[in-house]
Amino acid sequence: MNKRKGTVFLVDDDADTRASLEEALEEVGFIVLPARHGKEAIARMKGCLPPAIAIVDLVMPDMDGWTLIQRMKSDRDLEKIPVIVLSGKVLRSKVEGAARVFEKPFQLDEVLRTVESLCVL
Amino acid sequence: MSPAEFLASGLDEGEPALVIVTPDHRAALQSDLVRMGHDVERVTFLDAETMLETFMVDGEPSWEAFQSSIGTALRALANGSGRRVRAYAELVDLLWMKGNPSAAIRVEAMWQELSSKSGFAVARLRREDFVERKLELFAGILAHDLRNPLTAMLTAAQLLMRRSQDEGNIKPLRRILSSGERMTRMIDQLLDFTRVRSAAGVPIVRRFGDLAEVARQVIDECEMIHTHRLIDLQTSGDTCGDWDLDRLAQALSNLVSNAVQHGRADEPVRVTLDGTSPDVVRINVHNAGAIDARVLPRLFDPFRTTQEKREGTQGLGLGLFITREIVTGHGGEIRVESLRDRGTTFAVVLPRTSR
Repeated sequence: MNKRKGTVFLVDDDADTRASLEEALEEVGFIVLPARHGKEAIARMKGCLPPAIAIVDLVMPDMDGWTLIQRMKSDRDLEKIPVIVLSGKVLRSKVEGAARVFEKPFQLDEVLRTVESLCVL
Repeated sequence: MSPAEFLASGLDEGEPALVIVTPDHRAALQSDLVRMGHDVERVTFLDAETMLETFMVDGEPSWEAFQSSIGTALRALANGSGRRVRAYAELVDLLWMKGNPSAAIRVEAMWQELSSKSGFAVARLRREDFVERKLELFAGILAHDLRNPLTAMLTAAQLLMRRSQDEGNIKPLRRILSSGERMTRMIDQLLDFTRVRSAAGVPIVRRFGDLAEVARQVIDECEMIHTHRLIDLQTSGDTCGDWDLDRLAQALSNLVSNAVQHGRADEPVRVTLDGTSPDVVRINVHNAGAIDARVLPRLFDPFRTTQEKREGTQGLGLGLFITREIVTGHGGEIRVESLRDRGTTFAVVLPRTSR
């Protein structure tokens, strides 16, 4: 087993994508805290130590990704957490507050490399 | 032509008019006609829901009942005079909205049958446009919703690929991934197509950049897929401009892949970027193959290859249609020249800035 590298918050309403990403992140040494939507993510983040990084889908029920990122950026405990966005929509503009945006379907290796590089910072 | 304009032009000719619409639309149409100076008393209004009930039997339209209700109404207006009757109805629209497309299509056919057999002429506002719009919207929604399950499938396949040491597993996994990537490209094209057809156009977000860098990247990616093919890039002058570089990469990728796919395998594909003019950059993509002269006039039409299935074609036939939209979205032009002895050249003229 790899040495634990940090905690990743994974917020995506698609259970299958979430499960595969969770397994992949765990296999490279991260602890993963999954959430199905923004509201659940905020509740979970408040109840534990801030994660090293958050991976956030945009279109979700019960608080979408844009609102979640906005909430995180206006919260002193969460504002510094880097956010990676996974988007099912083709985006033609920047997502405010996101360190990196991946369009779905994404290259898994590239997402994992980005998570690792952002966690080192 | 709006429904009100369609009816007004008939009223101008002295034609009787039959309108079968929902109460909301009835009020809107009446107010439009009054504004255009017409007497709404000359128009016979019937309620669409009520009329549907007269000929729908167990969710299916009955031809006999349709003839009896709609045909009788039209006949009454024609009054044995052989006059043309102008009809505008939302029956087909209503059936679409109720989620009964097969009934909508059958009712459309019944209108046509009635018009041709009723002994009096019926002018109708064409509903094909409406049906086409619905289909485009449907394609857009479908394409968008397909992304999530496709992502789940491809992420799982990539996870297995990372874990697998066994060549026997890796090969079929590669096939899953390559098919998934092809599906992704088709979804992207469908979304672009629906954007163009919804009049929104392909969105262009400009930033300053070098087209030569974009071309190099596109060619590298294409050579990785087609390892046995040579793609030659020549640039001259200043190849920088204010463009949507991601969109231009998409357009170039379509042109280069097309050239590789349909060109002769023993000849390189030649991409030239000519930046010697101060206002425009010219892009030429050339291959040694020739395009059938009969196909040339329709080359940029959407879904062309699905109608003329060619060997080696793997897409929806939207690549060149979207390429042209990207070029014209930049204020540019694209044309193609293809001769048996000289090969095929796609020539793009791209203004450096939005004018």
